[in-house]
Amino acid sequence: MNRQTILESFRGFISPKTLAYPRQPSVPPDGFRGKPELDAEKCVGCGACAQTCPMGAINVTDEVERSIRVWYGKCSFCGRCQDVCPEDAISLTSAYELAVFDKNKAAAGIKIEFESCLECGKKFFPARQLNKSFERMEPILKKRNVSYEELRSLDGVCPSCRERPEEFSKRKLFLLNFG
Amino acid sequence: MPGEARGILEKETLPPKLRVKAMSKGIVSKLRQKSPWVMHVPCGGCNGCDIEVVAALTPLYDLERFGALQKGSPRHADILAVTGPVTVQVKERLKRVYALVPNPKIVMAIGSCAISGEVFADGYAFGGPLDQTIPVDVYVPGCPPRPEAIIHGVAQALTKL
Amino acid sequence: MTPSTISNLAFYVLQPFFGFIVGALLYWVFRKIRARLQARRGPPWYQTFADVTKLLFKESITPLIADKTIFYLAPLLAFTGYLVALLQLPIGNMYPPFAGDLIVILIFLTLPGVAVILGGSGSGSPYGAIGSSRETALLVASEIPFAISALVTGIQVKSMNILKIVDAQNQFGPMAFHYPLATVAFFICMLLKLGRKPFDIPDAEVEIIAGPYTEYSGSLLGLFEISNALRWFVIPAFAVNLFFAGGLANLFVFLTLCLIVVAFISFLDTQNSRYRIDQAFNFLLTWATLLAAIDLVRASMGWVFW
Repeated sequence: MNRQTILESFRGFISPKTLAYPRQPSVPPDGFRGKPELDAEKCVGCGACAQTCPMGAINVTDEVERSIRVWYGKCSFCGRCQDVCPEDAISLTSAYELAVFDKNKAAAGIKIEFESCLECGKKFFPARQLNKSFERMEPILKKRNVSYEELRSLDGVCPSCRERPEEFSKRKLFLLNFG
Repeated sequence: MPGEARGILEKETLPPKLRVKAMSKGIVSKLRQKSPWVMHVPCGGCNGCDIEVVAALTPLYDLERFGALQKGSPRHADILAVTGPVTVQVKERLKRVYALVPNPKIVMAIGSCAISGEVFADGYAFGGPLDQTIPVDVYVPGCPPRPEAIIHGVAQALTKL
Repeated sequence: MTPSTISNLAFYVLQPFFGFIVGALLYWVFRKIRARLQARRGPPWYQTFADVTKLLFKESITPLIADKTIFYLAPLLAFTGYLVALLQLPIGNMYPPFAGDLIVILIFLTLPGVAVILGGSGSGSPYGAIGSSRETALLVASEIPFAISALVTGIQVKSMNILKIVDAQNQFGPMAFHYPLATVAFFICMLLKLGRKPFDIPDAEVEIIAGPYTEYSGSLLGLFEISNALRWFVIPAFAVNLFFAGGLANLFVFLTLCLIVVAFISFLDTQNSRYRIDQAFNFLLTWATLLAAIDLVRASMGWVFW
């Protein structure tokens, strides 16, 4: 009990330093790692975030559509998914009020449509990822004078159909012309 | 029926004795929400969530405004705030501490480690998520959750008292 | 039923409620000022009432190894001690029908300490046992300066009747001006009776979980909280009656003086840290007793003239 602490106490008496949190929202600083959110427009369904997540909080399940789900109960908010995503579709927002009564509700997910095989009609690959990879290959296709439709007819076929003899010969021909 | 025709259903009226009882239950429940006494049980882990829980009691995020005090004995507590992954050693003792808390009580699982084990999920010392040991009412994800997130969780939990 | 009987009965029925409500509000003032001095906002005004109500409606668990008689007796003893002391105190210009006796009040104010000792050891837990031993040491050490400084006023007025002490102060001014050392010794013991720093050793310990109160829950703990609210009125009122009465004998002035006493106690609470048990024992038995003994000598030799 010396003069400094007494003066501090009286200073605190006049102006308390408590944040008025529940009445006024409390904004975290820039770069705060809050809950990750998926952007349904940008995501291509590659699953890189699920592969790199150290906790295994992001799950990719394939049924009629590919669904990608982030479960906040296992997330450690490290930001590796944000670093690795090629399309900047998953990012850590600054929302931190995540309390729930049922732990399965603390999650976020999106669904990506599958592309159907041209031959057998089975769904085998996310449509948007296929389109995106074609977009990335456009300069090379122009340089080599390969048309988009030709590549599409080759790549739009599911892996089991690619093993059939007529497909096999078609591909070998294409690769010989390409090289 | 006349009430239905007007579109207004009559409120069910209780006999006077039960009405007083129901009103007093409402008052008691409201006062119970105004004085939640918290006991903090750390169960292993990195202690990050423990620091955030203790930080919620500091002058910056004052919890005593809501009547919340930190109590040492589980018999005095209403809310049990459990942090950290439940290790194999602590599991039995946590069940005993849970049995010591008198009803009505609330259990909060604070941090992602308490919900699922997070980093420690495949470790040799992990004894399972918290709701396999004791029943949990509110889950607060975060690594660690901010003190404001913990206050938000306490406010959600109080509606269940 | 003469009118005086009816008014006496009304006094004895209403006085405990008045004491509880004012005590709960004084406890809130203590918590609010302590919070403000720590640069935070404090609880709202109804906090003590919410705490007591919540505890009374909670499940009450009795440990198997506890001695049931002593376990249930301890909160009742604490409540009785403060209640009887409350009924003997004059409040402002409302004098109780029975003449309040100083020795009776002192005896009944030791009952809560005994209740804490009984409750702690009867609850069967090691934390309770340690808390009881600490409370015993503190009770023994603090009763000496407390009793001596209280009796100094009685010796000065040559009567043990508290009404005569208050009347004498109305005539000659507060006792604190004539016996400052006894006032200081009484204040130190008051900090211990209320369970505040630097002497809150058995009370709200984080070192030994909750000390004597560890195994109490529900309505028994609620009874301890009610007696806590009562003591926040009884002990400052006792101090004001013994040392600060005089001048206007008014209810409003009385309550204001109690408020000032509580504010000073909360200021001391924020500035100090907790004493160790042997430090507290030494301090009480050397310095506090010395101050009280000097004033005892002054009073009994008759060196103070009005």
